[in-house]
Amino acid sequence: MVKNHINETSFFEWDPETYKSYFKKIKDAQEVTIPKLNEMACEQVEVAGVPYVSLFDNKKYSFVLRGYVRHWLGQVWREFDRVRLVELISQKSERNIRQAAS
Amino acid sequence: MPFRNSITIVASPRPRVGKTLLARLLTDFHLQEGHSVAAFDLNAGKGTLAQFLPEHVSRSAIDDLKGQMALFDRLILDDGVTKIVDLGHGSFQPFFTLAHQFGFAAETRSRGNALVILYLLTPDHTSVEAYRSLRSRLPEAVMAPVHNEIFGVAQHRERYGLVGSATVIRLPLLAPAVRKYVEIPPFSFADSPPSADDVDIDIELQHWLGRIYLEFRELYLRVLLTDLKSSIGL
Repeated sequence: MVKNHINETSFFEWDPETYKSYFKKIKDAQEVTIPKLNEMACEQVEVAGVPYVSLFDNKKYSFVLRGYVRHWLGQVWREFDRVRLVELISQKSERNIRQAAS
Repeated sequence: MPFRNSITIVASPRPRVGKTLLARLLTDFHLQEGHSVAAFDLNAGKGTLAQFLPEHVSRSAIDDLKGQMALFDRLILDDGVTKIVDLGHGSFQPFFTLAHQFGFAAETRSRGNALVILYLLTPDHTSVEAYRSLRSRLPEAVMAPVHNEIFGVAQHRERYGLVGSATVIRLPLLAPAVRKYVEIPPFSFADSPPSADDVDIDIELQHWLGRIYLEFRELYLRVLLTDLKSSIGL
């Protein structure tokens, strides 16, 4: 389950009942938090039409905007590592393959 | 790859330790060496770098994105200009936090420029811890500890882990009679002597400048040697 804060969205934190109804329902669900990215940096990525990694590697863009993207992407990747996203996905894929084979 | 230009940050988390004096001296040193210099002043109040050297200094602030882009994007630019930052104690933490998050030291190095941090040594715990933190967060930067002799003879080497032959730059004590001339802005050490009538004051100032400029020359030579060694894999 992903909480995407990139546009400062909130998730019913002010209303525990509603919050629980969404986020406590699914058993064993992992929660991934995507933090907010500076607006101008986000806009730069969209205007450039390139992947995040390409932007922070390309020195033709503002160093500061690239810096914000770099820092934000680091936070996102740490979140992926924290929930062991790659392991979760590969386990699921293996299960699907086995089911299909049987 | 030997460095082409330098970005020198004059820093300490403590106020009134001699940062602006050091930044002034460094700016005038580079100007006298014939370098193009752009200095950035992150201080507020009186007696700031911008007041002493208005022609060469831009006032900067990093509270918002606009200010951050005006400073960091200019610092990182490959324009053949020597950059100096007088980092007020209030900007110490936010500046280095952003520098760390943005990968400032690594980018400076990848562009073939040298990042030097002139760090004024004081015995307090905050300064010692901040120095250690900088060393670990910005390993690509050259840390150049500075001892301001106005605070006495102790260099506090042990507290800072500066053992053996680790070099500490000495900012020599300036005679009070000369200090009263150089502390009134605007004032450039590169310009005319402070008192045309008093030869003794001029001699004293030139002697003092000679000592600190020698320290700067040795510093940049060390930076160049370190860079050469790393480029040939020693």
